[in-house]
Amino acid sequence: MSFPEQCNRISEDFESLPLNKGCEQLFKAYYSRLCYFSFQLIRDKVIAEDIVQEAFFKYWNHRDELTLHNADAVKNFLYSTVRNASLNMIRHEKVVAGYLELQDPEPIEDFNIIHSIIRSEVLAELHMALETLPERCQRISKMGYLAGMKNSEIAEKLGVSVNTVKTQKKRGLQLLRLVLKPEVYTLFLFLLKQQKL
Amino acid sequence: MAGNNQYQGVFENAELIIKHLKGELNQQEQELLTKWLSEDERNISFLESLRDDGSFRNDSQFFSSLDVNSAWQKVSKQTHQKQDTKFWEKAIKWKQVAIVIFFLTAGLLFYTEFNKEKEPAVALKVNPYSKDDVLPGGDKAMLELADGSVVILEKANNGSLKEQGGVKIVKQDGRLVYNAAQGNPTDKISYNKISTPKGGQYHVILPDGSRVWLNAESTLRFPTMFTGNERQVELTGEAYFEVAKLEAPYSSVETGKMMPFKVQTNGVNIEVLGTHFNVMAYSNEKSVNTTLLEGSVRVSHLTSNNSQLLKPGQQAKVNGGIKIVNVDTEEVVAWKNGFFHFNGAGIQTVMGQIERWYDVEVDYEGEITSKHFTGIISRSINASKVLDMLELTGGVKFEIKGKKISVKSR
Repeated sequence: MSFPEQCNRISEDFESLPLNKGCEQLFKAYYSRLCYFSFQLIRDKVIAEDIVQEAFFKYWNHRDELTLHNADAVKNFLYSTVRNASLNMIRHEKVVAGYLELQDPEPIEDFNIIHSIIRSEVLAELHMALETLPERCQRISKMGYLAGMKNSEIAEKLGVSVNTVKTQKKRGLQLLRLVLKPEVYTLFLFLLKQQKL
Repeated sequence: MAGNNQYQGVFENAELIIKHLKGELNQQEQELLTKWLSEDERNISFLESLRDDGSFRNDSQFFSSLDVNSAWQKVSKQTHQKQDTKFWEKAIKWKQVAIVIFFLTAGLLFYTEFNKEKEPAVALKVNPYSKDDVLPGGDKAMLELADGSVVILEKANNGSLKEQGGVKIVKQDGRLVYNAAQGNPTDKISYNKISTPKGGQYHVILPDGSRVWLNAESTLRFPTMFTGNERQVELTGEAYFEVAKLEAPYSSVETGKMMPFKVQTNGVNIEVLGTHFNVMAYSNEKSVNTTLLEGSVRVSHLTSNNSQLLKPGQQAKVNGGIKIVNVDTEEVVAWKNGFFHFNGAGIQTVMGQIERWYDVEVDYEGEITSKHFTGIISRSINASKVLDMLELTGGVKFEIKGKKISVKSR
């Protein structure tokens, strides 16, 4: 049985999803946030991705021994696995780094782990909000608000009019406002243009 | 290992924080979050760090840079092909894939890092006001209790502040909550007064559950418990109200009569029955503006004995008489959501808001520009950045000296 097939079993927990999509949805729902979680601990994106992919493998390989009854239990398993692998990686690196530093490296505290998990969950939510924007609107909003490009630069790059860029940015902002919240929304800074009388 | 859900509580706290950021917490959840925050100082500083926009930008880029689809393709394909092989064989195969991914990603990272250099890191120029700058306002207010004692809220600790007449006053970050306890209400109605200075704002939840956001330089006087046939508060300055529906105490269930909520301000009375609206009644503005977002309100002008019913999306401007106009409500309540929002606003309107929020004095040198401004700017940035953005429009120039801003026309 392949990974996608076996995931159908837990997809019952993703009630709103069609059954055969369950596993793909599981992967796509948790992949980014788990990578980000690992990245916060080990500060290496490539290895973080590696660790997370292996965690999904592990989940698949041990599906029979694991009694995971719901989506939260699966999530818990994945986070725990990624945490262990990340901490092992850190220990390994300390050893490789040599015997010169004999004192124990400062241990990663539970608090850091917990905060890293929360941070991953929160940012995954925010990122999802951004991803819900219609494609063109999202692209222009990202270029404008995240990459800090000028309207004229975006227009040139995408081959559209400056007015289109302005409209899409405004629309993006309006849509984001629906999903985001005052404090976080504040982080997206903005257009200020002049209107002639 | 997997059976006990070790991180269940962590996921629940994450959920609370997401709701907190969305402003969707109910009272019980708010209490849970407050409890969690009070467990350890590090939880508080962690929450603070989530609000740091620099890290948000980087982190959001981290998410954008992941290619989830191709990762999924690889993982699902890999397991499909190798379903019969032993785990360690898979692991070896997997290492090879990981190496390929490593080089691909390293290349990508290098490429993006390399390109980043060419882009301006931030859209704003380095501001020319670095010597004189003014920090934005914040959650500041003074509470005057019935006995005349005064609490400076931004200096008070979170938690229960005071109990008076069966009402518990609880302070949470930037917010004051009046909890009417179950006990017998005392006969005597006592009044509290909350005042924000220039550069301050505050959020109050009244004993009936109504929410009030006070803008800078504003005062709200209200009873600590609503009794009788109506709820009455007094306002100067600006506030946004979300009035909770409350059944009149003596009405039967059949009639379901609601207890009216009345706002008194500068010779204007506003009567409501469960609704969302904004009142701007600064004494130095031309008119008292009441803007309705939801529900219905009646605005009465006392001297002319005139009164009008508002529909959502309408604004009543009271200045001698009552004038009803249609407005963009988003713009009117932007301050509550942390923004200046100008839509074709004249320079004096713009500067009026800046004056109150940054606690500065504004004067005009030379001719006052007749240009109009449109845009949305965060209220959480320094004054110089706001002025920068206004200057970028080319219509106006500023100079900051201490707490004084000079507006020069171009």
